[in-house]
Amino acid sequence: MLAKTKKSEKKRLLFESLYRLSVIFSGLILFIIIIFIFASGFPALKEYGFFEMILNKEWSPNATDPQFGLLYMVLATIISTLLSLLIAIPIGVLSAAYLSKMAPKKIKKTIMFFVEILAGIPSVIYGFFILKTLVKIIYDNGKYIEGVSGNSMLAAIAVLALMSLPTIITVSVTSLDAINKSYDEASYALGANTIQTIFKVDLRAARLGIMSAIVLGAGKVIGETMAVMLVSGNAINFPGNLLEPVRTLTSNIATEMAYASGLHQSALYATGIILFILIMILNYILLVVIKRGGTSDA
Amino acid sequence: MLNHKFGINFVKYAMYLSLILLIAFIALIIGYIVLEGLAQLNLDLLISSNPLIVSTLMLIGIALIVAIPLGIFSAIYMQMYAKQGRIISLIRFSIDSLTGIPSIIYGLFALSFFIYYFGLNRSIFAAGLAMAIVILPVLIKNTEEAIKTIERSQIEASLALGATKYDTVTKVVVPFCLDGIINGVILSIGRIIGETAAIMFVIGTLNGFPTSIFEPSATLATHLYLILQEPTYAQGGIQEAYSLALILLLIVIILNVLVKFVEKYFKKKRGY
Amino acid sequence: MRKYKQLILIGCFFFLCSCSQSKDLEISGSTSVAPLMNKLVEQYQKDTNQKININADGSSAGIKAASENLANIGMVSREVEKDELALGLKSEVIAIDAMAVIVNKDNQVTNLSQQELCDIYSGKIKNWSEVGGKNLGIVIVSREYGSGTRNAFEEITGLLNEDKSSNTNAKAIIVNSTGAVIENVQQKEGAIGYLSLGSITENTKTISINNIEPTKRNVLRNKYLLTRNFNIVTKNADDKTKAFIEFIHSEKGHEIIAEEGFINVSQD
Repeated sequence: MLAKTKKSEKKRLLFESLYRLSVIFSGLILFIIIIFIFASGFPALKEYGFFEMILNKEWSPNATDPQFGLLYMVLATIISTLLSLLIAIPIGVLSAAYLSKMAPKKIKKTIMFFVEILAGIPSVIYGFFILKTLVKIIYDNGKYIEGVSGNSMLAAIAVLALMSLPTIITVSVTSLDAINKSYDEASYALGANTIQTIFKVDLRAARLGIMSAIVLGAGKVIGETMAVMLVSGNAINFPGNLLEPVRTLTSNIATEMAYASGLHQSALYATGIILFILIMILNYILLVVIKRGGTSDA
Repeated sequence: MLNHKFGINFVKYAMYLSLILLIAFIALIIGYIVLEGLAQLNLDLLISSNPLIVSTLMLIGIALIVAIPLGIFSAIYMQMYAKQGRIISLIRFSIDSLTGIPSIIYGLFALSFFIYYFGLNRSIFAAGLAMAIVILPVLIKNTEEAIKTIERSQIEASLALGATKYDTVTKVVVPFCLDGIINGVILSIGRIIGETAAIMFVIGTLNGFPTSIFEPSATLATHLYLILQEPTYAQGGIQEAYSLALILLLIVIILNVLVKFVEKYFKKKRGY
Repeated sequence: MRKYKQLILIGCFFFLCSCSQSKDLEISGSTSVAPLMNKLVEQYQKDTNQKININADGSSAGIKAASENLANIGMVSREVEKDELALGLKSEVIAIDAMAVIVNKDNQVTNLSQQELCDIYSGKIKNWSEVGGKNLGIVIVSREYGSGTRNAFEEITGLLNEDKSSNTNAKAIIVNSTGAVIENVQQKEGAIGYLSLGSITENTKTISINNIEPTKRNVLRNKYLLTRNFNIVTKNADDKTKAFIEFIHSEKGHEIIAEEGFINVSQD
């Protein structure tokens, strides 16, 4: 019986105040982090200039007149993100479609088991794998070419594509599985075959889920640091050649943060803010693309 | 395009190709880790990874002790008690923003805040605090989602029967969404084990067997990263890297299986 | 009642934080100085009970740590600038180091002139065949901007512009530690890198600069080009710090320094 004893009253008051304290504390912490990041990046943005940072190609924090130009790194991040997604999205979504709608149950279960494991593997391991395989292959075949060292944008793209693939697949499969069976049945009743059903009905019905799968994958890709650092060469180089080393925005922060102080450190926080803005832009673009893709079919 | 046989076949083969590529990737990566890892495996290497496992466990412990109560209690308050006003919306906004932030920025924040500003030593403790911050938004969100799955009618029924809100929460809400909460916790554990960027610069380097959380150390993942950069850093050289990768893979598999068991157990208990 | 609870929580937090401040001696800085410092610390910890932690984050990180009282001693493998000294730092030399240039063990080149070295790093010379080696692209390995070794290397070789910006080629691979330099040079046939002479191993292949080999003798005779000081910086050194520094300058300390392949200051 839920009688109100003195003891249980005390307990109730204690816990309820704990709940309230927790929210206050959590809210405070989270809010402080956001404010801290923006406040720390603000000095660099103000003194050096937001557009200056994005468009200037020279990054020389130690010069007498320090330069904090991120252009090459912004380009490297954008290009490697786009190219890796270009690889991962088709493979991911098509595989997810097959697994969800066409695969025999046993095959689906087995493959999904492995895909889920891959989704949970630390990114360092992906970097490890590419470092010991692709990077070596690129160097062995390209060492006569000046500037080729194996550590390259190509290797970075490979790592990022491999990393985002499991995420895209797992979330897409979940969304596709959740579609109401009646949609498919109606489509078949109208005479459509499996492929037509998948593409005209299922993918559109699961549009939102697949979109969030892609957004999640993209977020992972833009934010990846360690795996990329292992294979990209970390060079502040114009990302025009797939075989040459590059440096992404995330690698820049990681490489320099240990010793940066003053305006330099502020510039690194500003890099973080720029990354954040990039992520929001990417999310928005994907939203628009998927929404439009969904409505343009007859 | 899909109305012609050619179009249909093209798409069909594209799907098969994607599947084959996927299977190839899976086989390559997992095969590489397992085969190389087993080839280099020996007792010494396993023993030498003991300190790393202990440090990783300590890290998980600290992060969970801080983040679980904070996260679950916050979610309970936000879903069950709070007036859905501006402050709560602000907190939700912070949570949503922070879940998208690359972990290196958490690392940068942790370095400036805990090490430089507060003057903490590089230690498992500092890294634990950093990870607590990383998983807090995820835990709150997860718990909130779990609580949301309960139909309001059930909660209102409980209150109508005369139970206090507190009793409703502890005896109705929490038991109901326990599996969602546990899922979120296991997810966070997986994240902590694999995290490198957020803690690399605040945890220090491996310093023998970790005797205290206030000392610098390394986790499986951070140590692996350092070895890959310079294999001579580890006594076992590059072989240690392979066994570390294998150990991490096994841990991920175990966690995955654990999640499935939790799901099954709660399904049984609930009867659906 | 609620207010007290909040205060207790905050108090616990700060208590935990202060627990992690210890009587340990904290040393931060150059990855080149760190191995030497490690050996010195090893011996010192055997003789005394002082616990010492070493953090190899780079020379600039060491200066920052020392000036902000996050470390008792900062290790710096380059000259300490005037504006850095102005932060209240006291700097002293503990050893003289030479920087060796290493190439892959299969590389036939054994010597480079200062100009060739400079041109290689700036990207003017792109292939080993241009300096007497085989037809192989040159893979430049350099350190991050905050590295004292990089700074010293660029200054001496002439890779710094007037405004102190670096002329190292954009395609140079940047790594964060001495160990990573060695790893990259060993793995890639066409690679070239620089590091502290004291960090070379049996597996690294050094080359001579201007036909002078990187040996102790040549350094002492002031003949070898890439020579620099290992400095330590302190700010208001406390007793435990002073005691350790005394040890470094002692006979035992000098023995260790010499053993590790560095040159002692007093021998100048």
